[in-house]
Amino acid sequence: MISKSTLYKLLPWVVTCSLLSPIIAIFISAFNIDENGSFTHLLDTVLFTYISNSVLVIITVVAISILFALPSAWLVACCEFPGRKKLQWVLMLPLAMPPYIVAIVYTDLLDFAGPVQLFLRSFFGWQSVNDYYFPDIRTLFGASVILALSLFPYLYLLLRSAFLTQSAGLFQAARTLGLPPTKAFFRVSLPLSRSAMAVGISLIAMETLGDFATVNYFAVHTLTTAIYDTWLELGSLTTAAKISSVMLLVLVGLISLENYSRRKQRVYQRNNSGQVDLRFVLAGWRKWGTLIFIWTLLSLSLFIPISTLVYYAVYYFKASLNEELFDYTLNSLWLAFLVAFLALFVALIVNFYQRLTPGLAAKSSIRLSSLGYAVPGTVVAIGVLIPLTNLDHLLNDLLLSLDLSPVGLVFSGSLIILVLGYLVRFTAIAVGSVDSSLVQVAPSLDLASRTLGNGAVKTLWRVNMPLIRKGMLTAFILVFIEAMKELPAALLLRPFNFETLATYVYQFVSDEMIEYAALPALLIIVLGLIPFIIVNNLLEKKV
Amino acid sequence: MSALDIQELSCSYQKTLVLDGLNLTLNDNEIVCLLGESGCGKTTLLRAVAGLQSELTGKISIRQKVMNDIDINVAPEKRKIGLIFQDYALFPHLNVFDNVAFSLTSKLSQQQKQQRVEEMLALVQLNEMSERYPHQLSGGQQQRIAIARALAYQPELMLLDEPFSNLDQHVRFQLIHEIRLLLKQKKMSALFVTHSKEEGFAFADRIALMQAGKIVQIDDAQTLYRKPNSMYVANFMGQANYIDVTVLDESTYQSCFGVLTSKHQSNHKKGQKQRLLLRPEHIDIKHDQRGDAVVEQVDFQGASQQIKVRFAAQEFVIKYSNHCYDSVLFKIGDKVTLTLLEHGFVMFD
Amino acid sequence: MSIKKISTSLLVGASVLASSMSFAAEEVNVYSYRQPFLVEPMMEEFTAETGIKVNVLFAKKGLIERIKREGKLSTADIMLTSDFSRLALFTEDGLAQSVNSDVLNKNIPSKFHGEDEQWFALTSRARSIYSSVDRVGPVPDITYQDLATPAFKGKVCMRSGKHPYNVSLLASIIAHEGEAKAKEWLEGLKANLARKPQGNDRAQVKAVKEGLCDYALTNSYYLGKMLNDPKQVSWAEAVHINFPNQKTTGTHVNISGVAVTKYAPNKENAIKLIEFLSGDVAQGMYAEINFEYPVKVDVKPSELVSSWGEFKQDDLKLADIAAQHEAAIKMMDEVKFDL
Repeated sequence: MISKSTLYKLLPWVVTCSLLSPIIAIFISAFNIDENGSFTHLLDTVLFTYISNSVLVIITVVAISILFALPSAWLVACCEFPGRKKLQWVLMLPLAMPPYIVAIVYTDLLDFAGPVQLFLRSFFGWQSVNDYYFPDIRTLFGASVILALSLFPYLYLLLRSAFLTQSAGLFQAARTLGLPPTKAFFRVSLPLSRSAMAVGISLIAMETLGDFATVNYFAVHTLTTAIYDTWLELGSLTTAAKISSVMLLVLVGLISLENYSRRKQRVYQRNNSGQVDLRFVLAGWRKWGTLIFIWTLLSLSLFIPISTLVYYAVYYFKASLNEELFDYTLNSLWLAFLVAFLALFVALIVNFYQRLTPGLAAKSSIRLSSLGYAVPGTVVAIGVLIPLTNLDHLLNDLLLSLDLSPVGLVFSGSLIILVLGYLVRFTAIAVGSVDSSLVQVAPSLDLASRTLGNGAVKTLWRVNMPLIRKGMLTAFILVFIEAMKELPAALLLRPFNFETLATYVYQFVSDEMIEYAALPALLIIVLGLIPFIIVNNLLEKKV
Repeated sequence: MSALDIQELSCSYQKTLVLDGLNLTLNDNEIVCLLGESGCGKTTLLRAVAGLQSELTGKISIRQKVMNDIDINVAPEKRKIGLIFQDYALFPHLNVFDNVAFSLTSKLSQQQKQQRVEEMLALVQLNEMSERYPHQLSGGQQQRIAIARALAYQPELMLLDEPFSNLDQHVRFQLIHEIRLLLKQKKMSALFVTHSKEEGFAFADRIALMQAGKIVQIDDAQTLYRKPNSMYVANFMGQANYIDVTVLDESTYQSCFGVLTSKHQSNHKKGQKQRLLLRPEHIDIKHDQRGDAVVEQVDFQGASQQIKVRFAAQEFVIKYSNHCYDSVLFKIGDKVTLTLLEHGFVMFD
Repeated sequence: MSIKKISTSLLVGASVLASSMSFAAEEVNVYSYRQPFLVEPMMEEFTAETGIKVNVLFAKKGLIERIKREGKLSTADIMLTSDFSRLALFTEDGLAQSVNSDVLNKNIPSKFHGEDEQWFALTSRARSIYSSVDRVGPVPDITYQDLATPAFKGKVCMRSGKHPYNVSLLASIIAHEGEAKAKEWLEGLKANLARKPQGNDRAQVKAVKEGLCDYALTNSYYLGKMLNDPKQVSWAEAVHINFPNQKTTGTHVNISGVAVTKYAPNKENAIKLIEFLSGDVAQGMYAEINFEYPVKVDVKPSELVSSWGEFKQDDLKLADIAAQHEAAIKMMDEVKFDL
């Protein structure tokens, strides 16, 4: 019989290994022989362009995201201006916007035949393309802006809480030492939020690296293109696996390097209750500049795409409303719900494992369980297929050898594979969110509870869990939203006759029929926003 | 030249008056302590001087330069002040050297910077620590680095916000004397906020006692203790006994200790009732079987005993110094007589 | 606990987990690279006629890889593709099985059969060149080769070179003229593009309407589809359809096709479905709804498609084109066509 404590130690590793199995499968495939020389072919031709495009897209997306997130986070955390309380959470909402939908909306608006250029032409009396210059949105830069518009809230969220928990005294100290506010910000507040910045940037970088739909829509070819081409057109799993593995290794390397570089600095976070009345009250041009900046950002990331979709949805309401839409909505909802719940569960397991038995093993279980986030959906999909189909074959062979009737594709032919695929992709978000709130719970509380007669697990349940409720809710919602948006894994892994809102949207979008996709696209956004708003209100009331 | 001049300073926060028409002047090379209970406005005053407080009326000048007035509010970074915090506020992302060098502008060469930082670290005797990060230092060391960091900026005025209250008792007073010496050596004026009068006694030249947004009395420690201008000040500065007295003439008073004669004349009117302040050390206590006072409680405090005595239907707290090894010990229930020693005849209405 | 008990409880658990899979008695499971709204009308008609339920899994990418992984446990009976290079990959990997059906042999001309009857074409469509009504007018004599000549500089729009439609066009040119000449052609074509390859076939027509380019390389049936879409009709009206290479090799024709998977659990139903798809009703629907060319000889294209006129088809064998598939993809990379 397995003892209880062994079980507790085993559970995190069982979870980690199942999440890791697709990635391991990919790594293993990477060591196979390159059967049709496609890797050397890529190397000789386009690989370096793809790499430089990938690097460029990531750098641009990160740079633009910082441009969006850093000022808004700081203004909202440290200044006072009209509407700040509401705006501070409205700024999180662009997370619910699927970038591929934002991309389509903007290309539609900014295309030659779109309303913007139409207006410019009729206003200035231009006749053809040659009469004027209009920036092409289908470029690397355009794609980066669109990605940044829906990814910047990750950084915003992390920076905002970093600024809020920073000791206000440090900023004041800097000012009394002769630094004006802007300089004090760059020399003190910013370096102090470095870990939040690093985490936010790596989240955004991973999302960007994993994106295919958006960059592909903008005809920007990145490493993900290489993976798709070699795998699905040239049929070389090995080459695709090689590229994915190298991509992952570089990413993990960069993140570890960043961690190592700040090993010496322990940045204490102090809770500063006096922060609230220390906000700079903005007035004059500062106030107006702030309001213009934030409202423009929100218009671009939220209001313009949503109102365009609403316009189409109303106009094509009859054509797009049908019974199936209701079924697909339900599918999306309960799938997202299930995945969010499981991701939260996994996050709690690996994080508590680290809290109970700190050390390299636990730390690596956290890292490893998050790896799948950087892998493009389609790669995850095929990565998940490998272990699960093997499991199915094993099970069926076993049943046959016992003279029982085989059960078919129990794992890979059912929703199990879809749920696992989603989990591999999104557990990282839940793990990160739980981790960051758990480290703020003072270890002395654990000790207090233990000396008061609670066991380790009971302490987690009675002390830690209630204290990280907020982090748990955030984890749940973020995963829920991501799962609502997820497309490539859903397309490839779903069972027969199973549609989600995202796959339904994709059908229309892939045929340039955005109008019919508007209603389901809005549903994805709104259903992601609702839990956001509810939870936010709950939290506000508590504080 | 005054180091700091505050006139009619008021500040309200959420409709309550935190500072109420406050006036204060700091002389050159003088350390003034702002003493008071929490909520009296002392930290607000300090923050106002630092330029960190909004919603102010009144005037603040540092070295004759106006910092706050109507339509004037100089930014904190332009005030040339050094601010020391209770939690040290060392930048956790910078090591000791970079913390101390933080305010040094790029106008200085690398060598000059190095020299200045080393000089400052020498002042606080922490030259060895320049590579360490704040979290690797003890509380006392962190505060010394904070002082070095502020001094490196060559401020015209030092502001210290409860700088010693996070420190252990034995480190605290050592550091207080060390830093006082340092400030005197650097001819630095300083405003120092604390709620502990012992710190104030040890650190400051003058103590300003604050109550409800006003300075109720500002004087050196002795005067404040011996000649408080109100019962509030008297009580804040130390244990106090009060007895009712009736004025007989300009210098004599009727009390439960009999007729008392003062060396100084007062302008009280005959027959007026007053309350006379008697510090515990102003009353002598002796064993006396026929005495009309009874010991109710004894606290042995090493160098002295603090004794509570019931006399004339009133409780007195008395301090009895244990002069030599076999000094008298008092026990509960002992009969004693009390006699008044020389005192300042401080009386309140 | 006996092994048998364990395995039965496992079984029960498994079947609960797998409850989302459908196990109806009469059904056929389809993996489809073709978009749902192109095939759904035919499937509905089939169900109405036979009572056999059709389950479709649609994806643009990765279905072959999924079937490969599923192996003999796969529940897929039929693979529907929108081009023959995928069919070729499918059969090469041994994922298909031969089908012997008199109905199919009768309905589908033998040039549309795969080797050993492992796959069948259901429709064909021409890789045509659309020209701007305003700026060019009809160009009946145009060739694919023309698009690479200096006269067309900055006037051509097309989707990604990696798309199967373009890959098979290039493969056919390699098969005709050899790799060296094909590469020269591809480089010339790239130099003439008005913009980086992007969007789908419809987007190219839109670009012609917007004046970004004068010529678009697009499949024939999109024109019909667009003429029936309230928003896209204006795009379609801005272009003429031309069948290239009429005086030389003939227009390149691709097919949409179908294969029965090797381990099809519902093989009989699968064959029934394919027979249905090759029959008059479905072929008629392909012609009338999708504007494709039916493979069944006696089913006529729709009136609209017929109005575009008869044209000469490239008579290269599909297998010969498929043989150049990999070379074509690699050549796209070599000239960095999409970049």
